[in-house]
Order: sequence, then C-alpha cells, then structure tokens
Amino acid sequence: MGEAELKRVIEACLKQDRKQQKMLYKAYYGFAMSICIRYAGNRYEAAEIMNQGFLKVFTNLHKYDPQRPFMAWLGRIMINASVDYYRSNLKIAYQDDLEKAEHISDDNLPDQKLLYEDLIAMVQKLPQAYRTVFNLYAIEGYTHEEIAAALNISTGTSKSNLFKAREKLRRMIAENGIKSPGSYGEMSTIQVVAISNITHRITFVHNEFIR
Amino acid sequence: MKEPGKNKLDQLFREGLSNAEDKYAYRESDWSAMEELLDEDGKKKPVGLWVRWISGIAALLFLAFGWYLVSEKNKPQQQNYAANGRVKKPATVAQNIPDQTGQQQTRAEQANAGSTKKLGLTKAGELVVSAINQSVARRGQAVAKEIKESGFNPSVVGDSLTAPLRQASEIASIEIKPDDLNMPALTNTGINDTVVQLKGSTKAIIKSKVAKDHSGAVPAFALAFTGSPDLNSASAFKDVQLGKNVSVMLTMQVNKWVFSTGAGYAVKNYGLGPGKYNAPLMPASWAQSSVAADCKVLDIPLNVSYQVFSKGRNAINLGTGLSSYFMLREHYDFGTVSNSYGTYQATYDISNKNKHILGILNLNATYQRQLNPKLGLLVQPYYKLPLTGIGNGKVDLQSAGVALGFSWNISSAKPK
Repeated sequence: MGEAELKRVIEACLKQDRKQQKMLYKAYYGFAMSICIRYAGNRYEAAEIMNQGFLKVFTNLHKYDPQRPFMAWLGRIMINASVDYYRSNLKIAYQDDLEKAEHISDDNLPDQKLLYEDLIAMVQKLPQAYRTVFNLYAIEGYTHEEIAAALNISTGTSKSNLFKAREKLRRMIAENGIKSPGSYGEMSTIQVVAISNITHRITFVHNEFIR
Repeated sequence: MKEPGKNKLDQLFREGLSNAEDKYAYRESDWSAMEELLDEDGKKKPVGLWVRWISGIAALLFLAFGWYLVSEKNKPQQQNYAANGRVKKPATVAQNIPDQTGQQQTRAEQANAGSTKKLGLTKAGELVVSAINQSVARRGQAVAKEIKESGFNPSVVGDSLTAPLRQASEIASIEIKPDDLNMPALTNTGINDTVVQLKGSTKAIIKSKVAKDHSGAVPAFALAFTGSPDLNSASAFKDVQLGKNVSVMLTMQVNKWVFSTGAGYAVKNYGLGPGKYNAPLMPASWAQSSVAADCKVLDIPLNVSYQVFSKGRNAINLGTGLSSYFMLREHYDFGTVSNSYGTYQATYDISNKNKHILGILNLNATYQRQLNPKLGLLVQPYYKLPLTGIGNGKVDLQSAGVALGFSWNISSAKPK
C-alpha cells in the first residue's frame, strides 16, 4: 500500500468506515500475523492476539503520527497485544528437569539458516513464559529490565526464562535433528524417555549418534 | 531496547523468523472475528454513559445526605419529642393546654371588635374551634396519662414503642383552625348541632393532620452491613459451590421506598465439566478439561425496594436492582493437561480484566427488626441472575443466599 493510499485509508478508518478498515486489515494481515504467531501456541491463538492488536489500532488510530512509519507503529501495537496476552491469560505452572539435563553448547547449532517453518514450530512449543521472554529479548531486542517491567516479573526471572528458553530450543534442534541443508554429519540429540504422570516432570536423555 | 545480541541461537532465530509476512495468507474468518470485536466495541460506548448515570445518582444520594445532615443541625428543637426518641413528660403536655385554649380565647376576644353580624358568626366559629381544641387536648392528655399509669418508661424502650406516647402529645398540641373545619355559615340556632357534628369529625381531622406532618419526603439514611455464605452455580444450580460475600450499603428511605447502593466483596467458586468452559485465547487441550473457578468479585449494586409490611418493630421490603461486577481476580484450574510437548498443571489467572456494568439482576426480600432507634437486625434472602456472561469464560453464573447483618440509622428521621 502506497503512502498516499495509506493516508486515505487511515482517514476513512478514523470515520469508522468498515470497508476501509477491512482494507487496512487485509494489507497488514501477514505482517501482524508474523509477529503474533511467535507469541502464540498456534495460529488460532495468534489470530486472537492479532485481532486484539488491530482493535487497538482502530481505536487508537487518532494517536498515530503520520510522520513515522506505520508498520513500526503497528508492529509495536502487535507486540504490546502479545504482552497483554501473556499478562492476562496464561501463567502455566510448568516444571521440567532442565537443571538435571546436560548443557548443549552452541557449537552443535547449524551454521546456515534453518527453515522458517521449523523455527516457528520450535518457538511455539516453548512454554508461554519462556517463549514471551525469548521473543522480546532475542527477536525484538528488549532488555531484561524492560521485559521485567512489561511482564510484571523480576529481571532474575526474565534472565532465567531466557536461559531456559535457549536450552529448550537447543535441545529441540538437536532432538529433532533439524539442520540446515547440506550439513548432515555428526549430531547429538536429546530424547524424552519418561513423562511422570504424578509429578508431571519430563526426563531427557542426551544421546550421541552419527548419521 | 538494546543492540541485537551476538548469541548464535538468538541470531539464528532472529534472522530465520524475519520477513515472514508472505507466509500468512489472509483469512476471511479472521476478519469476521475482527468485525465482531469492532461491533462489540461499538456497543460498549453506551456503557460509558451508564457509568456516568450511576456516578451521578450516587453523587446525588450523597449530596442529599449531606444537605439533610446540615439542615438537621440548623433546625431548632420545635417538636414535642427529642431526636433520640424520648418524649416530653405528659405533665408538660397538660401544661400547654390552657395556653393554647387561652390563645384561642384571646383571638375570639379580638374578633369582638368587628361588625355585629360578622361578630356573631365569628364568635360562634371560635367557640366551636375552642371546644374542639379542648376536646382534642383532653383526649391526648388522657392517652398520655393512660400510658404513664401502665408503668411504661419511654427512656428505656425503642422508638416504635414510644410512638403511641408521641402521638398522644401530638394530638394534644394540634391546633385546629376554622379553615380546617370548612365551616358553613353558622346561625345561632344551628351552633349546637354543628358542634356535635364537628366533634364527630375531629378524629378524621386529627388523623389527616398527623399524616400531613409525617408525609414530608425527608429521607432517612442508614448503613447496612451484611455477610452471607454465597451459593454459586454456572449450571442452573445443578452443581452448587459455596462462596461468601460481605457488603456495606448506604440506604435512603423516602416514605415506603428504599434506595440503596454500596459495595460488596464476594468470593465466587464454581465448577464446569469437560468442554463446557470456553474462553477466548484458550488452548484447545484446556477446553477438554473440567474447570474449577475461584473468582474474587467487587459487587456494586444499585437497588430499590418497597416496604410491603410494617408493624411495630418489624418491616419487610421487596427489592430489585442491578449490580455491576468488577472481576478483581479470576483463577481457573484445569487440572492436568497434555499436549505434544508434555503434561502439565494448567492454571489460568486474570486480574482486573473483566467488568460487567449493570450486568446482574438483583432480586431480594429484606426482613428488618428494629432493636432500638439506631440499630436494626437484617435478614435478606437474595438471588443474583446474570444478564450477561460473567468472567473470562462468559458463564451463566447465578448466586443465591441469605444474608445476615444489621442496619445503623445515621440520620434522626421522624418516627413512623
């Protein structure tokens, strides 16, 4: 959407023109969804978050400064909607045996880009507390202090959640044998060997094998 | 914000997840959900008006209360009974009688200065009035004496029991004027008949005067403190769980109507079976579990009731109104849930997110027994019926119970 057209659509949206609202929604749907999907467990949840974000866009459009890029403003609103989702909806008491599992170094990570579908699937598998902190810190570039304030947690919790998120992602890469094209070789992987129904703890085993 | 980190894993994900807008094709179903949100948001705007209305009504109630307190303070002690319900001694009432009669006689004497014909008629009328006033005073005095002789001590009993004594003193102090009697032109021969006829109607006139004195719409204010076990159900009382609530209410009574508002704090527990709880943004795996809810609610009611029964110290009111629920904290426990990654204990906490302005219909009956002029005992069966879905899951949360408490009169209203 060109700048002039965007200006016209925004003006129409300010007058609650439903057709133009749909046009704006449609034009930025993919961009908004690509942000929200990282914070959600699945696309259904992502759509809910995204719509909450667009609702904020439509109801706060009068606050938008046309001198600044619209996408940056929209993106910030989508991140805020994702943070709201975290704060108001899910606080899962999640326990695992990460502390007991061996640390996997970054040396085992592939050197080349991984497929988007694999990466997003791994991020979505993270518990929500870990996923939110990982997104805010690693992807959006927030500091631990900013994350702590946004999520109403301590900086220590933010750091701990980031550490656990990274560990889990490393294990998932190793466990699933995800690799970049042409990098087949020596791999290490983690397998889930037991899930306790009583303590709800997941036990991992670190295996080494050669493909 | 910070500069992008050099952590290899972070970099891998940052680069791999960027520029992904082309991965998500537009879905018409998402826009339909968006439209619903926009429509709902449009409907919310009148709620803002309602909030202003409620605030306005509450402000008026308090202003009226303030005005009443101030006017009560400045009002001279003109009545024959004190504000605390005690009455003047009957002897004082008796002492007043000759004065009043004397006043009537003085007026009658003053009227003698008029024309002869008119003098005759006026004099006759004054005589009638004087006779009636004396009769009224005697009657009041007799009632007061009777009560005194029965050993009744007004200083140690409640307001309702002193009412007859007050009425007696009021009757004694009522002054009836010729205008009240709507007297026909009197002739000398008809005076005796008219006196008899008018004496017969004295009772009705007194009643009318007393009622007129008490009919002023001066509001009476009271505070009511109640608490109760709260029976809650989200399934038409098929599965009932026990909560609790406490409340403080300000009531304003005008004649038989009682207006009340205040605040209540309630703990509402309820349960729903698998698949019956469905909230937005809820993972599908959770919806298959049963849920145990524990909600802390601030309840702001706006009620009106009508006194359907009042005898002695007992009164019964029937009331209705609307409540606004402010969901302070909602906790939902889904038990153990499994997904592709593992099994975990799923709980769901929300604070200060949901509010339901005037979304609950209140129905209640109140039995009040006045223990003394200030303190009353309250028993109030109630039923709360939601007009909208309550909480994050928009459930049909009904509540019922019997609240117990007491009322405290904070204004010295005229006795009933």
